[in-house]
Amino acid sequence: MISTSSPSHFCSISSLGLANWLRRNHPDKSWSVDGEEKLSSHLDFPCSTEDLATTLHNINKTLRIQVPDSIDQLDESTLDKAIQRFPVSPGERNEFMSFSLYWEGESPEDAWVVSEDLIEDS
Amino acid sequence: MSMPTINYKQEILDTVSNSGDLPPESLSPWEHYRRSANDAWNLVAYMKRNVARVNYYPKPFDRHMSRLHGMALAHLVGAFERFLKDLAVLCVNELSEFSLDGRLDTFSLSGSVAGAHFSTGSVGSALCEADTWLNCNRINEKFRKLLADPFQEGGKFYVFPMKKAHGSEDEVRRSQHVSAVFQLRHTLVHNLGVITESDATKLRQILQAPINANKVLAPSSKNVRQVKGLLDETARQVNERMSLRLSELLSTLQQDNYLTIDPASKAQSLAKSFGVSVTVSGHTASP
Repeated sequence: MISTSSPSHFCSISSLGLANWLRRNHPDKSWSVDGEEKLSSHLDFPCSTEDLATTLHNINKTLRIQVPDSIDQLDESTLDKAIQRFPVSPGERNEFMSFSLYWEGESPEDAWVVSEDLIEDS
Repeated sequence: MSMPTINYKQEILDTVSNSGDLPPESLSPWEHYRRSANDAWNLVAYMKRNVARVNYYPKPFDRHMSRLHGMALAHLVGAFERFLKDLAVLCVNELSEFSLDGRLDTFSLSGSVAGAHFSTGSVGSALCEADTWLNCNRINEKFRKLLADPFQEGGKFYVFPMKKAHGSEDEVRRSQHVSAVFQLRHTLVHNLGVITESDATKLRQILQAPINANKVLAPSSKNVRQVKGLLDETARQVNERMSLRLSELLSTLQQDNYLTIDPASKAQSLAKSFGVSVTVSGHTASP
C-alpha cells in the first residue's frame, strides 16, 4: 500500500537507530542509497543490510526521515510503520521499501533515498 | 522561412563549459570508482523503481531499459578503467623520484604531452592519462615493471594473473572474466552492442564457450548487477594488493636509501589515497 506524506514532513532518528532497525527487522535484504555522497563512496550498491547498518552505525549522526503526516515521533519501534512501501509494478501485491532522508543540519531539498533492492540475484 | 544558423563551435564550447567540480572522493582511486559505479547502478535502480511501478507501455519500456542497461555496463567498465589509470598515476607519482632502473620505460610520452602536463607537476598524469587501460596483459606489463624491486628485471606483481604461475586459480579465473567484460565494453561502445565476428571470436577465446556473432546485446538489469559485483570485488582486491605492494616497495626504497621519505607521513597519505590501512617501514596509518 502506498503511504502518503507531505513533501516536507520529516522526523528525526539517529543513524544508530536506523541501523538497529535495519538489523532487527530486515536482516536479509539488499539496499541502494541514491544521492548521498559519503555512503556512495564507501559502499558497493546494492549492499547488504549489515554493510549499510555498519556504515550508518559508524557515522552516528542524526537523520531526518520523510514519514506520513500522522507520525510525529520516530523511534526503532515505530519506524517499520512509518517507512513508505510501493508496489513493484502496477497491480502487483509485492511491495518494496523506499524512503527519503537527509542528515540533520542539511536541507530537505538535498534529501537522498534509501531503497530496497528490486533486482533478483537469480 | 530559413532556419537560423547554428554556431556549432559555440554549442560545443557550451557543452564543455557545462561541467562541475570533481567530487572530494576523486582523490582516492577506489572511492572514486565506487561513487561512479554506484551512480551507474542507481540510474538503473531509479528507473526500475519509479517507471516500472506506474502505468507504462511494456514493449517500449523494455527496449529502453535494455539500452539503458548497455549504457550502464559501459559506464561501469569506464569507471573501472579510470580506477586502474588513477592507481597508475598514484604509483608513478610516488616512484618517479626513483626511476633510474628503468621502471617507467614501459610508458611512452611525446614532447607535446609532456609540455601540456608540465604545469600540473604530475609525472603520473603525463605518463598515464592518454593511454587506455582495457587490456589485462598490457596493464600487467605496466604495473609489473613499475612495482618491481629496485634494479630487478620484470617484477612479480600481476594486477590480473593470466596463468597459474602468476596467481591463484580464483585470480586467473577472475582475470578471464575481467578480460571478457572489457571485450563486452568494446562491443557496446564501438559496435553499439552488435557482436561482430571479431568480437565473438575474442569472447570465445576468453570464455571458452560458444558465442554467436551477428547478434545484438540486450543486457538485463541482473546482468548489470552481476558485472558490477565482479568489478566491485575486483576493484577492492586490486586496491588492497596494490596498496600492499606499493608500501612494501617504498619501505625497501626508503630503507636502502634510494628514496628520502618520512615513513609515518607517507603511510598517512597512502592510507588516505587507498582508503585502507597502510604500513611503510613499520609505521602504520589508517584512512
